[in-house]
Amino acid sequence: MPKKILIVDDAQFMRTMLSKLIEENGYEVVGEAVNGEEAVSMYKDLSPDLVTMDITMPKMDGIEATKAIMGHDPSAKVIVCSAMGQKPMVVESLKAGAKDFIVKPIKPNKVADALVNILG
Amino acid sequence: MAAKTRQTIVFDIGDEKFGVRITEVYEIIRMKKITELPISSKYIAGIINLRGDIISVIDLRRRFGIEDLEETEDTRIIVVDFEGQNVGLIVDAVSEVLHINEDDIDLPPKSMVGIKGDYITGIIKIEEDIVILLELSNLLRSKEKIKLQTEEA
Amino acid sequence: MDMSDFQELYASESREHLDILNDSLLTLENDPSNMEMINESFRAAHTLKGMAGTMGFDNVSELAHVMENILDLLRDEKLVVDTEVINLLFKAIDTLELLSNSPEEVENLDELIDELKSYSQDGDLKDVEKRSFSDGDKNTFKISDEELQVIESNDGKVITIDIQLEDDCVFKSLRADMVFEILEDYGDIIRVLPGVEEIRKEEMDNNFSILFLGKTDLDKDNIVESLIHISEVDRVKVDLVEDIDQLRAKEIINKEVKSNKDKKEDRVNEKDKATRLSKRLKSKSTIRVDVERLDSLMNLVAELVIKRTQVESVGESYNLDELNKKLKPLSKVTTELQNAVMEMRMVPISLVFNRFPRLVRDLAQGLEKEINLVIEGEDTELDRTIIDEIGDPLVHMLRNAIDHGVESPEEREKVGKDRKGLVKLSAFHEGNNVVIQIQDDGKGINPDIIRQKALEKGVVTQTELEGMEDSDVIKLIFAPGFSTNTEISDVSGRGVGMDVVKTKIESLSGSVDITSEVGRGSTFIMKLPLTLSIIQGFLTKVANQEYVIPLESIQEIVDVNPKEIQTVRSQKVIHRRGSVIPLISLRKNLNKEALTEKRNEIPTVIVEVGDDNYGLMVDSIIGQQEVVIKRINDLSESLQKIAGGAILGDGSIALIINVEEITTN
Repeated sequence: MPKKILIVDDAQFMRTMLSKLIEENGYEVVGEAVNGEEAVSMYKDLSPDLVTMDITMPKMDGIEATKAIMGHDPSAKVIVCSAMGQKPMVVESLKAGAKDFIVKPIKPNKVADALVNILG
Repeated sequence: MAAKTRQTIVFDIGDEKFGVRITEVYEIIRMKKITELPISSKYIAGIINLRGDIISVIDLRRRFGIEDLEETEDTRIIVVDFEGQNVGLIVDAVSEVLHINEDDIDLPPKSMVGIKGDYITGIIKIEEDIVILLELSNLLRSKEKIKLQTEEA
Repeated sequence: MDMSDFQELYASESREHLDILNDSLLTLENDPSNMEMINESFRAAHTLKGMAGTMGFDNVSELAHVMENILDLLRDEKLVVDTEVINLLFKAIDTLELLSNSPEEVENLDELIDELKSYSQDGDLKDVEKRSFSDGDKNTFKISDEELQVIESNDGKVITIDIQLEDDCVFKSLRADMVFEILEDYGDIIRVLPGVEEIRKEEMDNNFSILFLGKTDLDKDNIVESLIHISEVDRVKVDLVEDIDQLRAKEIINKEVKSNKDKKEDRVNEKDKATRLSKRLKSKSTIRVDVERLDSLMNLVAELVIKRTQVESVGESYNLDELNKKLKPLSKVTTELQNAVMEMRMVPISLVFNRFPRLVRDLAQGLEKEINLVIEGEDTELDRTIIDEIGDPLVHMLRNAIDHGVESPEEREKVGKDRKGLVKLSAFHEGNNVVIQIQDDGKGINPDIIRQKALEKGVVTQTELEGMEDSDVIKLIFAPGFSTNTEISDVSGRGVGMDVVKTKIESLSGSVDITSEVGRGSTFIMKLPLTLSIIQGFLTKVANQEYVIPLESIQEIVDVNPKEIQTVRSQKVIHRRGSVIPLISLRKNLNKEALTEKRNEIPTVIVEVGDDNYGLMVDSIIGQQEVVIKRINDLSESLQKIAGGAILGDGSIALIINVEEITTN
């Protein structure tokens, strides 16, 4: 059974891109959240094997959402998606428990590597 | 074989007639308002506005050491080219443009009416008049005093 | 997409990168350990490569690529910075310059590319990276005695771990952190190269190395396996350190502590230079305008100012208040327009000076001389036209200074001078002029030799020579047909004499002069006017003539009551606000007759020269006016008191007072 992945991003474009990449690599996209709040509640409902988490989002940002998810499930696997200039946010996410990060503009091979590195 | 000719502009200073090569002459203008400069040289009359450019003007009467003359209807400024810049020469009158046959030019005498040979390329007789052909660059470059000996009447 | 649209942009931008390459290589040659300069040139070559590639200029791209390889080898200290490699790189730069200016002149690049390739041994950058990686120099870890003792007292395994990150890795420090975090489970990190601080600041290439004290049961493969699974970690290499003693570096440590401090300072300097270079790139977010267009704009604006003045004078003559009022804002706009155009035309002289370090270096090398070129005042601004024209004369004078002026290092040593000859190029403002000086500490010009040559060449006659002072004799080098060198050297013997230089400078309304002292050196002094200037001034009348006093030197305009005037040591003065102000009568100073009538009030313009104030007494004051300065050709007479002429609205000429000269006389 393919591993289940939850995509969290407020941009439709990014969700579509990621979704395509993830499926190409043989994983299943179980859900797409458009903000941190939705991400946390969908995580609770779906218990995905991995979450791709955008940092900058309305309502609840990716860092807060990561913290909330880690609080709910300490073994959760979160990969944050950051932009070029967001190094401090990435550091904070990693501290909050994110396992890895990818930097936008995303490159297919990097996403694939990150997924393999964490899910095997 | 035709002899070489050249065009010469003939002008008057006092009782003498002088000629300069037309190729050296930029233009001939009527007398204009001259702005004096605070300098000691008497030869330099001052500066004029020539279509937005400022050019220096030399009073050839003073240059040749003869007394000033009130400007008349005939007074002209001959604008010549001197080392790449325009310089005006005030003359009593411009009388004519001559086609000179080079063969008719006589060598300048060692000294003539007080003007050294360096300033003269030659002389030429036109009917009873003698026209002194000037070597402008030497004349303008030199600061030496020149005394034109005008014959007493 | 039509690439030809980008041709011009490509050309101008590659020009800038070539300049950076030139500059940084020059600096590097004098300071071979300057890593920042290697990086700077590497980046420039890299950018050039990319740009040329995008444009489809494959040969340029390949040339830039092999340059990049060599620079990379220099960076990894696989190659040493020496004259040979610098020459080779300069050759490549010259070719690239030629390519961007006139590509048709470059026939075949392959030879040069091969030359560079063979210099870098096996060209490809990838190979270089691999080699530098696998060579992982363990001696670079220098550790202190204490650290060594800790290691020795522990029975763990000492290993080195080399990590190579992917080329496009963005947050390298975060990947390093992830590496460190995993390593915590296996033992202790002793040292990291580059330092932790450098890594944190992302001041690293794509690789870093760790000296590691692992637990006794440490398995190399386990470490590799865990680390390779970190995203963007490309390669991991673990080596066991067999001989711990090779890490010992007691003597070096002490030195290093000291040199570290130096290094810090060096780095600061390097940074300065780097910021300056990159600033040059950034501040160049400009468009290029043909000078001719700028000229025509300039002329139109000057014309506009004159026309405006004419309209103003109509308004004043007929007392058209309404018109005068409407003209005020117009006059403000034209003034601003004028300033803007003037500023557009002013460019720093560094545009010309910048190419000289390279030129001097090549000349010195060719003539086997050692030259220390000092450049001062490169920010001095000059009108664009002048900048464009002074390049060649300056090159000629520099050539002269190096070829004829500065002696060979051996000769210099013999006479007790520094082996390196000093050539100082400076630019500065002086009154209404910009002065450019070229000074050398060479052998100077011997007037006797000049006398002899001048006679030989028929430049002067014996009689003329007899009356001449040494200082005038020296100036004969500017005479047409004069060249002091008996044999025609490759460098200065190009059929161009100093007379050509003089003519050129004079055509720019400037002057050139020379002073020289045998054994001490020579100084060429070029004075260039700030022509094309437009100034604000006060129009005054003195003896029925109009004079402009530049506004910038005016403090205030006052009416002086003759009763206030006192005489101190035969100098007329007035007291104002506690200071004594000398009075200068412009009539007297300009050789005009004194005014006979008695006046109750004398209009006086107080000007400031340096720190001193002077009062210039005039007949009357007409008012503030903006004028275009025109140069007055004063023929043989020196006209120091007058800075130029200005044509007024009615076509008459006002003379512009040279305040410095008037007051210092």
